[in-house]
Amino acid sequence: MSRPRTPVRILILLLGMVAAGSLAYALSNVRKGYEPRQPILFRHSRMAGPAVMQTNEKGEAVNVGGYDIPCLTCHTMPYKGRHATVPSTAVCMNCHTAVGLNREWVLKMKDYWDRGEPIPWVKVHDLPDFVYFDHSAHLNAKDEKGMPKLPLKDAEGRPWQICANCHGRVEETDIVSVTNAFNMQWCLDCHRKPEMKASTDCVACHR
Amino acid sequence: MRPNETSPRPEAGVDRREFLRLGSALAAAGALASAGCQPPQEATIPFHDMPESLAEGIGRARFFHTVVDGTPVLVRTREGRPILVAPSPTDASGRGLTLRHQAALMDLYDPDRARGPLSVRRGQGPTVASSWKTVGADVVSRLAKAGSGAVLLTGPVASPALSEAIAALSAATGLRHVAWSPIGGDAAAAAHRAAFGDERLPRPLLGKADLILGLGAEILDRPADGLERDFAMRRSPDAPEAKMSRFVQLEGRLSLTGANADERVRVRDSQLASVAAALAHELVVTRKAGPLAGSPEVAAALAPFAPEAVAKRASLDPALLSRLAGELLAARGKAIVLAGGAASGSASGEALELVALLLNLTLDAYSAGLFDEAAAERPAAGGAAALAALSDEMRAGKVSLLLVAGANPVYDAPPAVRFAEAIAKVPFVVSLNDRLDETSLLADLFAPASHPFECWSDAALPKGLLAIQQPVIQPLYDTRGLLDLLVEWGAAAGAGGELAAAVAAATAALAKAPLPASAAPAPSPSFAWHFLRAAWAPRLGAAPGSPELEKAWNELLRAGAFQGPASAAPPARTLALAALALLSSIPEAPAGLELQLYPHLALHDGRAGNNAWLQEFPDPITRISWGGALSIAPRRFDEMGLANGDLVEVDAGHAKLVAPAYRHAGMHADEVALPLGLGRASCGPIGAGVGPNAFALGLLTGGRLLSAGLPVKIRKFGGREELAFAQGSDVIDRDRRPLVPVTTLSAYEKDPKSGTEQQHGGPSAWPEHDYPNARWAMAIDLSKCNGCGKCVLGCQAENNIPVVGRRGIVDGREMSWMRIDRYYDAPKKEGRWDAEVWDGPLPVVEEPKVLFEPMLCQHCENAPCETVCPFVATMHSEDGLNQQIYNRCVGTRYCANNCPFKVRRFNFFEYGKAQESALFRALEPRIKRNAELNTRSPMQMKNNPEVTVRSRGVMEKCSFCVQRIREARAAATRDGKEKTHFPDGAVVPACMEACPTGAITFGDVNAPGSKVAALSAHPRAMRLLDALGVKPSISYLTKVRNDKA
Repeated sequence: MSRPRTPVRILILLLGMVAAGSLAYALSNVRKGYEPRQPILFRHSRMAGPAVMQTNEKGEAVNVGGYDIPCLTCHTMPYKGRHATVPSTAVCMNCHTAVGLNREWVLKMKDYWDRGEPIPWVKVHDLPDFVYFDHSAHLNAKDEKGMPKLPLKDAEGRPWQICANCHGRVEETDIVSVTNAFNMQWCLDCHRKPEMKASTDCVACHR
Repeated sequence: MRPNETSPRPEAGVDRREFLRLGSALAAAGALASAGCQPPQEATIPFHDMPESLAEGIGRARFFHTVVDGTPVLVRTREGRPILVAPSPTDASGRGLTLRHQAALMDLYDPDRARGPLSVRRGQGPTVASSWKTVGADVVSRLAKAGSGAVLLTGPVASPALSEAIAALSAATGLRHVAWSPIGGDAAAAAHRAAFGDERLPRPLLGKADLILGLGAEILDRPADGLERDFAMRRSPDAPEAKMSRFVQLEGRLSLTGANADERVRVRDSQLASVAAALAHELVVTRKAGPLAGSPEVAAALAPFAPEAVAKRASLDPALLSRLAGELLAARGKAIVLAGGAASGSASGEALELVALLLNLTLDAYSAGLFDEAAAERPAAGGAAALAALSDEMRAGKVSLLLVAGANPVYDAPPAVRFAEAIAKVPFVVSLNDRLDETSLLADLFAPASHPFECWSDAALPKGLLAIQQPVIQPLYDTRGLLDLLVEWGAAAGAGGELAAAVAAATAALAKAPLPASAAPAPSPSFAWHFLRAAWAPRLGAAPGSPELEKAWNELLRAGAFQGPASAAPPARTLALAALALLSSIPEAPAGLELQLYPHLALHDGRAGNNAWLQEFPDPITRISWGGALSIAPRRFDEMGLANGDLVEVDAGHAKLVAPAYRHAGMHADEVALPLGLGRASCGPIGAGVGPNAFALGLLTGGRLLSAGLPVKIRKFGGREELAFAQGSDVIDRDRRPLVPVTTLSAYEKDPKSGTEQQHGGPSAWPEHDYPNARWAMAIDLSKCNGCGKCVLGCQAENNIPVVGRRGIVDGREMSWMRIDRYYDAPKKEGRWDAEVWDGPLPVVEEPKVLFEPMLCQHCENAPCETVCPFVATMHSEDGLNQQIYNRCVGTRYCANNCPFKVRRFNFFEYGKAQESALFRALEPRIKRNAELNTRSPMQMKNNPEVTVRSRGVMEKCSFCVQRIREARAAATRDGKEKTHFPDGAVVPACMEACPTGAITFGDVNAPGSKVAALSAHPRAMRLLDALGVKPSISYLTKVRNDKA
């Protein structure tokens, strides 16, 4: 027989597709680079970023950057429990009852407030349901010296907030995106470091 | 070879060009496949305005004290909905939880509860939706017109506020109130009233008793009195403060209580009173013991009960009675006699209770302080006489308006009452039950009352304690709380005073526009809340509306209960001689068989018939779930040539019933028994038609409801109904299979390791696990475990365990992670038992020694399951847990195959999600039933968000409540505490939380001084199946039987 029979070829084709597809998926990174469009085009750089002073036409010094607001001012929950949360609209309105009411997106946010509807943000850092991540365990983890296990400086020694270890420097971005792999290999890269003394038990995350 | 070929092609192979063609196709396909794979887009929706009370953390459980069915409970809620009911650790009332309390959660989320008021029109035609305004106006106008022709029929009322509201309503409109419960303690109350002039029963202090004599006592079957805890306190053979108690039970049917007795004697219900009187005769008349010895009236009353004659009639050995009397006498001042089980529902029930009183007086139980007089309370009255009288009035046309709230007499009243007939004669009937049950279907209007978790009320507890029943969730449907309704209608009907004030306050609160998340919570629009506040203000010593009341009220809700004034002084425990007349009225035992009707352990009076947890809960003795059977003694069963499940007709003269037969070990030969609470006709698709309705056999004579000692005839009916037996109901030959550590007190005192003998395994080929830090282990004390099964329900609630239904149990596809194995201990036999022991031979089951063993994943060191999983979905953790990782599991089921304890559960049918494909639903009819039992909205609300809801094809098993362990670890990190070791109580798994007797101990066995370390190292501790070398993390402590008569 010179060529394999058609059913055999189809079978080889199917098996090969499954194998190739799985390999491709495994090697791919479905999360890194994910940058979904949000219902409100909120720019973290404007809130949390560093101040950038410029002179406008009138000669006044104007801050076109941010207000250096730390992450925890609005995202209040990460130290307290499993879930870090997106702040409620009331948090935005703490300031925006008075300021920024001539800005397009502030008004759109205020529209949600007036209607009494919560803002349906798109979840950016979304882990599968079988992963039970605990923010408070990561943020409160301290080494023997009492310093947080997650460093407060990046690899080059520039200081950053503890959240940036995983979420990157969100205060420098306009739209929140996933800047790390956020797959299990990436979690284990840190959990397996001996100085972290972190559990590598399956049930630590996968109950 | 073909032309242009240079080398021969492989036969039936792939050549280079073919390979390249295929290969490029593969690569293209693979690229396409991976490009299409994106995770689903999820929304994350924050609060519009977060309540300040959540500031300490979202996703934390919140706990509320409330009351369910007269017992204080602690309810764990998540995101505003209750997910677990547990005993309240601060409860001082001494009440105990029953299975129904834990399952009240399932009742709350029952999709077959009524969604709103309906016009029922007595089942003539379809129901029509109504509104509360219409219903309220209608009822109030009719109340005003009906005057004393209006009757409110409720269940037992234990709430002072509810009683007040009913009284106010009665005063305003002339409404009469009748309370009815099919299961009540009328006999005990009557006996106490006759003997002492006071109906209140003092609470036995079993912790002080060295000897307990049970006369058909059912303290463990009906644990609402909380006596399980007290009983278990004295069951430890090595407690330094007090020696082990001895419990002797005389009963006709092997009950859970009798199964825990050190010695059990079979006596028919109808002869219990005589046998007990014979004991009294022996003590008082023959041995002249006790304060009653000098009384000629007592001697005369006891004269007919000479032990020899009574023993002969009851087929007992007279020496037994003599020995028991001697034991009682020797333990005088430290002995107590208990009655009050199903046998007290017989014609001689009141006499039985009286004899128990006489024995207690003789043994100085009252004067020696074996009864807590401060905790005396009236038992829940049945009210059969009142119901019968009401039914007569209804049939005579004297009742123009009937309101039914929390009672279902069409289902559970004895047939002599003819309630369905009577209700047809009432011009207008309003039902306030929670669903269209048997009684509601015959009503005109249906105004559903809320579940106790959804509304305000209060409760009177023993010892003068009072508790508030606070809602833990907003009403799921358009229902109102019973107290809310009575206050509202009472005020509208003209009852002034507090009712009107409450309604005015609530209406004013409703009128206020809600403020956005302001600091002070808005005043409640609930009528009951305002009524309660006004009623409680004087108790709390604060002026209504004052900030002191606010503070005291919040403190009350936080603490759970309030110590009110002590109840009236108990009567002097001196016998009124007129009571002795009861002894002369003991009827003869029926010539043939007698029937006992006993409340089903889980379902009780059947009001929760649609509760899948309770229906699936296997009876601890019979192991029957989803139904009930006629219990017949093994000898008679064998003589009749029956097999389990054969249909048998029970003819009680006034009614007949067909039920499947069951070979009930330890049953008296002349007694048969049926469970009450089954056979609901309309409660919802979950429970309708499950089991036989034995209420039809109750006999009403002379104003008393008799439910035991009923003369019956049984005959084979032909046909079978398969009984759904749960796993774990065997005879065990401990010589061959040392699976349960059991010993007697004498053997224990000689050798503390007695009972733990088993074959030991050799050295292990596997390296040992290293536990430098915490290591979780459990110890189960079988002397304290009474087989009640509350651990099973606690686990089911905590871990989102689905319900498999009757078909699932019959197929052996149980899902509950924990089970209580019930064994009958085959006595040692010359030359050992062989295979015939599995059939339960008569020498083993006629008077069985019952063993209960809670069985759950043993988290073995050398787990046979861990080594065989091809996908490494189950392996050992650093802290000693055998982990089951659901997302890795493919469903090979090799692990379950290898588990010697058979504790692994496989999810065959995706119980957690409804099957959307119509094709699969058609192919497999069980899918429809599983959806009915598990996935109808709002059942998913009971799920614990910390535990995965497992999908089809995945193995599951006890995880030692890993979610609680992880939470404890996270809490330790948050608080900056050490995580190397955990103190006792840092992690309490759901089973340990639910266990009323403290039989289960869990903790870090490596922590110095931990309880579980001490118990695991105890000589009584045994780890099972050491011959296999699996090395479980659970130690079982021997069950010690007190054989020292």
